[in-house]
Amino acid sequence: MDLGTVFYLSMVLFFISVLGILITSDLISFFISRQVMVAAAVINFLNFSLRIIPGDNGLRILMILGLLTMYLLEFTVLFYIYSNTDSIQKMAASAGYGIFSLKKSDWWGEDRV
Amino acid sequence: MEYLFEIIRGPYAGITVIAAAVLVSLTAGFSGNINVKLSMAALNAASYIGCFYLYVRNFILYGPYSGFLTDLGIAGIILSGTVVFCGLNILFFLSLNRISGKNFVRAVILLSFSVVSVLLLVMADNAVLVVTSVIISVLSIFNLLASLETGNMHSREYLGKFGVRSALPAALLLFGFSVLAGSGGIKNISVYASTGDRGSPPVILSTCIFACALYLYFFLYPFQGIFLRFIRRTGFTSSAVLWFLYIPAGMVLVIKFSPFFDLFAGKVNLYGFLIIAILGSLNLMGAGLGAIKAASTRRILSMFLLFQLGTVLLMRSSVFMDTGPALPPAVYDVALLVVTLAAFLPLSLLASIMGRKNGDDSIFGAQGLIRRHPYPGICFCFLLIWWLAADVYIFMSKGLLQGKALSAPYVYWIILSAVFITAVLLMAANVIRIITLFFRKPLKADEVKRDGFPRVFYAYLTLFMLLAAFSLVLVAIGELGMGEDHIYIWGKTFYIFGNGN
Repeated sequence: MDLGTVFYLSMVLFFISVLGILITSDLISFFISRQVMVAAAVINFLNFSLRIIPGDNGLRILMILGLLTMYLLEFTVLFYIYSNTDSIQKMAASAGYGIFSLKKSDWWGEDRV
Repeated sequence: MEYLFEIIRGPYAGITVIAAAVLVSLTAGFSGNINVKLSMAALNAASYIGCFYLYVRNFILYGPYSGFLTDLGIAGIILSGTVVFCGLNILFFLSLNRISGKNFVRAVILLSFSVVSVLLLVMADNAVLVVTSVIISVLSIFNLLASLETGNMHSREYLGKFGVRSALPAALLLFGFSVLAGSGGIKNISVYASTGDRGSPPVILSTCIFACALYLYFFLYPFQGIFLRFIRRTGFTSSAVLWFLYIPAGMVLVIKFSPFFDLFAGKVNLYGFLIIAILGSLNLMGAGLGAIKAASTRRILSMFLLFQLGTVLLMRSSVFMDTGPALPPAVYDVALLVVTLAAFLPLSLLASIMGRKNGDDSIFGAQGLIRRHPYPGICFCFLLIWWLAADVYIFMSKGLLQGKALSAPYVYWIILSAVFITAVLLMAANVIRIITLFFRKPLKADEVKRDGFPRVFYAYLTLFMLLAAFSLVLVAIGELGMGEDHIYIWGKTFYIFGNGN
């Protein structure tokens, strides 16, 4: 496959992940969609580092550090969520992570605590 | 030895001072002694001030610093000063609200980590450091919030949701840089401002992805729900961290990516103009309308901040139709950030004090404030009016009514002006509502004169009042223009962005 085809493939993956993030309200589905986005980024990095700028260390370092820190952030958030929910709530806790919130109180009036 | 000299003369010297303070603070991480806690807070505050001093000193002695990963010019110094100022204020809020808590010193350490990571973001120029420092900043702010919200049952769920949402822009940024690599490798961001490949498809595509990432980062409309709900359930210190560390870090990122966003400057692009103008209007109107019926001070302040971000967005939309200012839009971002901090820091402290006194954060707790406490009441009225006036001055006078903006097609000029004036009128209604509340009779007449503010609060408020009044005087006599592209220091002119000097 040539450079362009691989790039289009990564863009397709990216749009799939965006679609997933927009329509899901489940935590696990949300993180899977994010993983697809990260996979698309990795494909791009590898594609460009092999064909456009072979041997570019900056690109490799960016990929490795970016992935490491991102997974650290992801792990921290997931650990926080799961360590703050008891076993009964765990199933319910993964719901309600939709990116849009269209409740009236988010736009107008007061939100009841 | 040469390596050490490189650290001392470079931008890392300031960060080293904060790191040393954190190292010392670690030894007192579990101490419950109030004197130890106070001394640790003082040590960290001194390290922030020392950090900024070293930034300025190194800049004066050695000039702008430019390395493989970093680039620190006059804009970087101003932004570093702003971040350090934010850090000091949050430390002050933390000491005021949480000094008796058992994890106070640990919260201070986490705050210092957050400040260091945002300072790294300010100086970052290479994609490697930009991506890493953004993610580390979000991570450390999340850790700080988690530490502050320990034991708060109401905010747990929403903090988790906040973490999930704030992790998304990081993934988008990484993807954006991966696309950008297609334009011939990863270069420093400052290089994109001057090279000829600014218009190449990978650069334009990655610019769009960066813009989406920033939009999500700020929780702008229609993604505001989690931000508002989380703010409503947190303590006042956590709200301050979000308002005055998370949002300024995002503004730093906006300014950092300015070379990409300026790609469209001078190109007549109707669709780009429409998209950004509609989103900016949505934020301005949404924030103006949303604050009218809100009673929680934290919710109202959050709406005000969203209004500020909407102003930034609308300012950017003007660039698309060449109606924009002659100066780089990043100059206005810096000005709006400074106005935001100067107006909202004392307001959030008032909300915090009223909240502690009344047990909830309802704005009605401040009813009759001017009758009970004339000086703070008048100061707050002044700051609210000053904030709105400064916004109008920066947007209209320095943006739309200057230079080439006047030669742009009238229809675009009228659309932008009409949207902004309507939104400002809406926000003015909010400000008048709050000021009227201050002038009304107190809900409990017997409490008049009985509840005093801490003395330190008067000093804090006076500082911001003087700052606002001083800026007004300087603007009136023509010595200072908010949103100028240069500053005068000791008879020398320094251009904030670009190589004008």
